[in-house]
Amino acid sequence: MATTYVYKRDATRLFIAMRDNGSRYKIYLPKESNPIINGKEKDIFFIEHKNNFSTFSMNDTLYRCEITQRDQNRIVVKVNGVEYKFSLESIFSYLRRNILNKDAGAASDNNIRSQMPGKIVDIFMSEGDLVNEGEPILSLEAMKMQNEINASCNGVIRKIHVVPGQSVMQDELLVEIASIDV
Amino acid sequence: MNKRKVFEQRLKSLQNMEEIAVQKQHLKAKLTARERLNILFDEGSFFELNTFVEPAKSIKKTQNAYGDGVVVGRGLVQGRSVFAYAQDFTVMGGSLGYAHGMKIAKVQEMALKFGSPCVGLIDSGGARIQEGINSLSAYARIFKNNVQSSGIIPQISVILGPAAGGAVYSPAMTDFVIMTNKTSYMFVTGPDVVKEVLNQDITMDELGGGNVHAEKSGVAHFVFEDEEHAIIQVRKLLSYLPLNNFDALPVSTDVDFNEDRQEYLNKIVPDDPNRPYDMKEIINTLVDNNSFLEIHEKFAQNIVVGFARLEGKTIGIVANQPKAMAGTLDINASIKGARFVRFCDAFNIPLLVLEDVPGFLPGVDQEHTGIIRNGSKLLYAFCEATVPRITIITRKAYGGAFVVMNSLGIGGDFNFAWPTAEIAVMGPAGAIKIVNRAELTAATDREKLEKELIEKYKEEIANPFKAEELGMIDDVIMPSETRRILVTAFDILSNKQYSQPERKHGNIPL
Repeated sequence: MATTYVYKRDATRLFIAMRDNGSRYKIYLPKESNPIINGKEKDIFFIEHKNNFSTFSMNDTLYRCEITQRDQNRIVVKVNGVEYKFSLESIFSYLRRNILNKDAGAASDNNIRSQMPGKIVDIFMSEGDLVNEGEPILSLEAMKMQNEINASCNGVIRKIHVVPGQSVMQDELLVEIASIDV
Repeated sequence: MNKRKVFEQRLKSLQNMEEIAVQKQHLKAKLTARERLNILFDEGSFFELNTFVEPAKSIKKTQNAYGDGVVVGRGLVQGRSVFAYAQDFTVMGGSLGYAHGMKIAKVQEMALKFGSPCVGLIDSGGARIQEGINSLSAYARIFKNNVQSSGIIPQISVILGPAAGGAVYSPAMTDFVIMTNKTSYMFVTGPDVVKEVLNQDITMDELGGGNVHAEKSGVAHFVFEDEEHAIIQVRKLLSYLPLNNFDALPVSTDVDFNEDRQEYLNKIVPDDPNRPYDMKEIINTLVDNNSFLEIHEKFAQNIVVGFARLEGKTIGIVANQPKAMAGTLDINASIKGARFVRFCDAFNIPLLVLEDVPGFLPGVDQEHTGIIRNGSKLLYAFCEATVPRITIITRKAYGGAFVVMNSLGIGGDFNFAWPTAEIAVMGPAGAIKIVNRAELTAATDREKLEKELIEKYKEEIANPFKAEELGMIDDVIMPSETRRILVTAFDILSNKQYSQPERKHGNIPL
């Protein structure tokens, strides 16, 4: 026997935006009025143009912004040359995230190993430097191609195991990074 | 017996079960089976089957177990028919008993019969031990159905909890596996057994978590932080796919591309062949805006595969990525590429190949792990594919790897090259050392002569215009014209006819 059900979809219009520096923004989007951010009503008008360029006005000031990266619920926006990284959660996914983070424990280490045998061309960073995820740390030449090896997470470079000109084997440890991601 | 009363009573106990499930699952940062199906399907479109099936009589129950731990049925995704099953971890740990297994087999068989995709939302402790061999026979039927449906309807598995032991092989045989980070696990033997047999300490996450399978093993095609995103991804993925192997490809009406950026393609490839660039930038410029859906984003990054839309129509893209491992083909890249090419071929999705490949990855490790056996998978897959397929050579196209990447010789329909292309048996530096060995040893100023010879080689041999004169490629095109040419070329090929000698099946080197 077949039964049909209607389960109500989550009808919430509340979102939480988290910036990479740890700030949280509560955003409520009522159906027919201005959005409310952290309890304050904002007069925001948004136009998305072609090529990822957009214009938005907030409190009668115009800004030009560019969405440089979109990946799942993570988004990187560039306004006036400054990049802002956000991840956007619905109220439910935010609660789930908190439960998972509580179980996961403290920050972990991230080590960068060489993917292929090759030669170190240049090192751009030194030990103790702060790096952002995706920032190039060193340049490795392999298969006649100079590849930039990027940081795998936000953190501090704990130790660099190689010097320019050195040949490395596959899976050799290049750099140790202490992650500061939450 | 008052039948109306029975009807009301069991509906009430079903609601009770759902309330308990909500409490249990939400505490673990998970959703219930019905909540998951609700995200997957268009609102109110889910039609549930076999809701009140009960587990085998021999099982001692402490609570109601209507449905035997699995919710199955059919719903609509963007208005198109899709079958699905969702295991319910709150009923006996989602363990697979006979009735449970038969329900899954039923939707699989219906999906095959009615030509609609089948989606599995998996959250199960594995076979139900109390039911013994009955439970195993149900598994066997599910596996058989997976294989029978393969290549006829798209099958997608979303792992939202544990999947251990034999249970991992059903998802493994489906077309796409989606996992969540931190809440889902897949392994054949768990950490306890690993500890017992090998005395290695390892956590569930390190052994078979979402990130491990997305980066290292390549089992998972996508990994997400939250299960809501994972299920939404199924909807997105289905929007690119036909319902079955005879269905027409879905066409999006949202056709918009970045016209201003096409000019930028003329300068994207660096003059210095040792400099990498990001192939994904080329892909995103060529296809409709925001339409590129990458598969296996973190696994074997030296090859990029995924679906995209060109003038609203689905295409499959296979591209070498000079940014990762210089774009060489290694074992993982070949397997990743081959599986994608075969999927596209099975479901009539045209293929676009973007080529910048210096060759197969050399090394003892690769040779001993079988680059010959595994590299041939990609070659086999391309040779076998009968869908329209076009190659654009952006830069390097050397040696065997040139042949493998959908060359005209193995049945590519069109091969175009950008003016930056270098097509030859070997790269210049290697080639002159063999061809001009005598001259070079005799030379007084070896370095100067080497430089001259490399220039000469680039001019006379590794030059796309030479390949064009010989008819080995169709045309040398301006990068900024690529999109326009691709649209025309795929249009020419849209009625591609082919015939093959009859056979049971080929013997791909597995």
